[in-house]
Amino acid sequence: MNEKIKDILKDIYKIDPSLRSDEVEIIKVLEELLEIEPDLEPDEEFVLSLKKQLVESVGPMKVVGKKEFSFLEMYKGLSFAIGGLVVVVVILISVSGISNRSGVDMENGRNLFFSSEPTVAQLKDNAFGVLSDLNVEKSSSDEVNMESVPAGAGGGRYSTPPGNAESKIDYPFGPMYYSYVYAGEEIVIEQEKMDVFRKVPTSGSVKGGSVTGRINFNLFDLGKVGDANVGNISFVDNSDFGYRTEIDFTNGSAYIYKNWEKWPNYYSTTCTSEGCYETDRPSLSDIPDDEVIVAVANDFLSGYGIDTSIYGEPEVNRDFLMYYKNIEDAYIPDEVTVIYPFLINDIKVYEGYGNISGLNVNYDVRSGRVSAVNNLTVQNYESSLYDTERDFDKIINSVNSPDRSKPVLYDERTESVKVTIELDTPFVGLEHFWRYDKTENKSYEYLVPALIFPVKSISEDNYYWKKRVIVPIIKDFINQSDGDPIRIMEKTAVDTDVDAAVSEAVE
Amino acid sequence: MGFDEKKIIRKCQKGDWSEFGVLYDFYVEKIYRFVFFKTMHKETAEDLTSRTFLKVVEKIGSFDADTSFSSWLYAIARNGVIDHYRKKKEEVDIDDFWDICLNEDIDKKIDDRNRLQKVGQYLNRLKPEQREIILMRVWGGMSFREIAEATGRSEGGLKMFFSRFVRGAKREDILNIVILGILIR
Repeated sequence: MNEKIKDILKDIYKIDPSLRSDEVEIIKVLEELLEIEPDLEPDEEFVLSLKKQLVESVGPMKVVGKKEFSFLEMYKGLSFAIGGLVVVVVILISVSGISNRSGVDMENGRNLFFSSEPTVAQLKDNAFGVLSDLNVEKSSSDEVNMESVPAGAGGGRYSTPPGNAESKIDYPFGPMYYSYVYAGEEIVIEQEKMDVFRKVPTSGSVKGGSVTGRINFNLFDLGKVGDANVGNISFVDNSDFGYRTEIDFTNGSAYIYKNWEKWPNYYSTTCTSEGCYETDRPSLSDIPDDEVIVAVANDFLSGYGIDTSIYGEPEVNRDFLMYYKNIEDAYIPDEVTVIYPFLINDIKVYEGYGNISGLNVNYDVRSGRVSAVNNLTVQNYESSLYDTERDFDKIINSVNSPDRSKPVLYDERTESVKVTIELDTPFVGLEHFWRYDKTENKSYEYLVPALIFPVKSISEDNYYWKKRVIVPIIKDFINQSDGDPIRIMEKTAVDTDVDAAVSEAVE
Repeated sequence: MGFDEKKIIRKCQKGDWSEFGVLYDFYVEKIYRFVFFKTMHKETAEDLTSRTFLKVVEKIGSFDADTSFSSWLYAIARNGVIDHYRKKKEEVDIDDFWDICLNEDIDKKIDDRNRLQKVGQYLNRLKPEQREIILMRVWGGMSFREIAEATGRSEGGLKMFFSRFVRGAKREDILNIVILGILIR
């Protein structure tokens, strides 16, 4: 009898000697189990190879604690995106900004892993200079005056503001002047100084020579790019429902979005008339429950090896419903966004216009699939203590500053409206700013401690497009401008002439 | 264990990885087997074992060295398995790996499917977690303590569970009882 079986039988009889009467049957079961025993020993080659990989990855690295540094394979999921390419590009990179702080030596032949977990390096007080003197601009993409920032200098991406001209809110509406009333509890701010965070740029992290030497590109000599910095790399998956993946090495970000050519285009195939465009639009009932949408998003991110544990609890953005008195009138979008909030030391980050800032995952209502991932970004910060505004009255007064009270978007041909907004007791968050430094010709991202005032109520028959009002409490930032209001343009004589010419040509 | 595990972990946390290989050598086969029992697929087991150790390297800075390293390690491996099945979008219970492996993932070295299914009939009478424990003991030769650590259950709890099961079991479940009896040491 097999020694292993004897050993097991011994165990069994210790518990219940009477089971000896079933010994034949027991042995039969055990023999069958052992007979089909698979090879449980891992290949020696695998064991050695993994060991080598681990030793190489930890060799020169100094692990200095969770909040300061952590390795993560940010682009783990990229492996199968790369798999679809004819030319496989192996990125051999040296990272100056990251490696210097983390102690990671990026030698040739080693893969670079950006850290996706927030890392913060503490600097001396006021290390970023006098911030009130800088050309600081709100990160809110609908408010940034992009004209002042040269192309390629970084900065937020424009997006259509809520309540844009495509929505069904009755336009035109008059200029809305906002008056804020505080209706919360009294607040005491104890900290004299608080940390301002500045993102460590990743620009220059990848050199051209590390990439071009591996590509046979016969149209011109790729070697001419020399050691110029790599700005972007993109990958295209041409299978059905495939994705395009872009890595922006300048800003340390990645974007994944649907490859339009390989996704069904409902509006060019099924719906080709104005009528069906209106009638076949998704309805509210087409949008699944939040749990379902979040599960799809989680699954997608997991498939790409994107660690969601570094973000706050995901939230489905249903703001498209908040601009309408009657939900039935709401314009239901084709895509719904799940936001995974950024957390720095467990504090949430907000955009200047009041929304939560985070990793965005778009859910396509028609296909039930993820259609895009935005804001997947390296979060390496430096922090420095700055003076806090502790006078709560001053903070409240700043809410009613002309900058915040003026209209955001208006048609000057109609009468103005005064909207009163009640604000509830605030909580602490971080506000996201961009700052363009003219001397360096470079934009920086800042996270600034702020009070987040939830909107408690809006005066009757009016609407307000923010759910929260954000006020930075660092003195250097407290009165930063929101930018000029956007006036809806009246048609000029030239426009009218163009319209007429177009009509004539069509006829 | 002929080495000071906590000391090695603390050194790793301070950036000195010189003895990490000792930890690796001690655990790599255990983790591989543990993952194999849940996937029944060699390449998948290798992939998940790799991911487990890469995660250890990545996260060791946040590990509390005063707690059980092996429990933490098995928890990482277990989460890796769960993620694996989520990605595969299996419609069956992720713990019901026996059904999964019979469907598609069975290792090619196990070619006698009929025999496997026959044994599977016995094992299918058990709950997934009980079945997993049996395979760890019979195939893996793991001690009761090791199984307790791997499954995140206490030794005492498992013994109590077993004794209740034995007392309440019917005659036709004798084989199950017998097999579970293997676990008591």
